[in-house]
Amino acid sequence: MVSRPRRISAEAAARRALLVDALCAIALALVALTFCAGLGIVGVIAVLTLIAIGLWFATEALVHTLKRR
Amino acid sequence: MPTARRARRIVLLAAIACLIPAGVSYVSAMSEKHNVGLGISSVEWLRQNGGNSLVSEIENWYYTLTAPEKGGAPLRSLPQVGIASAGATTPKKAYRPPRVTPVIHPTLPGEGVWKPAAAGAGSEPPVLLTTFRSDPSYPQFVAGVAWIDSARTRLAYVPGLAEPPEPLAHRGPGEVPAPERKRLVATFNGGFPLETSNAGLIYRGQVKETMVNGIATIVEYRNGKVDLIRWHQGPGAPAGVWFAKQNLPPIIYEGRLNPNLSDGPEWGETVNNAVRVWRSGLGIDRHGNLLYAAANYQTVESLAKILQRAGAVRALELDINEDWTSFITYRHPGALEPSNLLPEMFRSPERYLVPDERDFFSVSLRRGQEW
Repeated sequence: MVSRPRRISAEAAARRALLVDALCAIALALVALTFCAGLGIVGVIAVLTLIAIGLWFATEALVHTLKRR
Repeated sequence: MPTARRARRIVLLAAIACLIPAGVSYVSAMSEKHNVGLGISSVEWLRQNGGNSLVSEIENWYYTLTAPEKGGAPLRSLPQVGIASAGATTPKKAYRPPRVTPVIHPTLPGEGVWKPAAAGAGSEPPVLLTTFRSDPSYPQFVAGVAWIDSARTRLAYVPGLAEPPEPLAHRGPGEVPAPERKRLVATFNGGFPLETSNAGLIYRGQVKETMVNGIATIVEYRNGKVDLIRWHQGPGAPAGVWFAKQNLPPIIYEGRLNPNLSDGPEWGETVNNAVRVWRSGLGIDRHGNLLYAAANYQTVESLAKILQRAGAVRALELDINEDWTSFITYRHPGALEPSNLLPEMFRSPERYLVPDERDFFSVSLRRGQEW
């Protein structure tokens, strides 16, 4: 039996979180591809989502920059 | 990492994962042969990949916002169509359609008067063209109408490169084949894509898409006779039918307008019937000759009225929107000097002489008939 290490480095925890998130994302994508009417709609929604997330990142960066000043 | 950021990362990765197959499909579709721009091809790809309702909603919204105003300054002249020549003389033997009675007075020179489409077509030209203002509320709109002599011509259904999407043993090049151009007199657009019209198709005697009862159908029988009927022969292909192309319910039947020209699921997944866009239709007169009509800013009802005024006793709507509406005549044998029915028609008159995405109809002189 291999027991779980009690202390996990921050990098390892981040890697694990990324793996879990990636698996969740793949599952979400599979659900979307299965239940959406077609690849066209999936593509449109994905592009809109990327734009929205891009705006989110941009807003965060802007707020961060303003705070620094 | 905060939960919100993790959720964002998951959604971001999911969006990227979704974009991969969508992107592959899009790039693959765009790299195929096209004779339309990237924008139109992209919209078509979206339509074919589950986005038809979305595209129709956007179109409805756009066309409603850009709807034309009623009235306006009266026209002083009509676009010149056909050949102003001795071909317009009164024939002695064959049936010729009567002048289309103008709707708006005073009439403009040549309004409703049939002119031959081709030069040197003699006293019985196989295709006649005319224009008239069809709606008193919109006196600036001009409808173009073509009359096709069924005794002298033969109609052929030509599959496009992408429409119909069903596998065909004889799809052809998506254009008028070179050997058939010598006798070619006209070409015009087909109906809605099958997936949006909920209709059937028989091609070369074989069912390619299940036929639907009650739907308006252009039929060519194996003996060469063409008719426009309301289909009541079930899902299969009757023995005598060579091709049958369906598109929506009839807009005119036995001389009367369809009383239900308003919207409903029977009119396909497309823009509302009351939205004013480029529309085209095909009718048949009481002598069995075909009538094609097209105009910008038409509703289904106003299109039906154009065809009825031109003499159609049965008619169906064909394709709509400026990108898909074409009626082209060829002024000389060999498909030379192609010309659109109306000058403002968007697509090139060369459209069907190069591969086209959508299916269409060609009209050729029958064997034994000369220019």
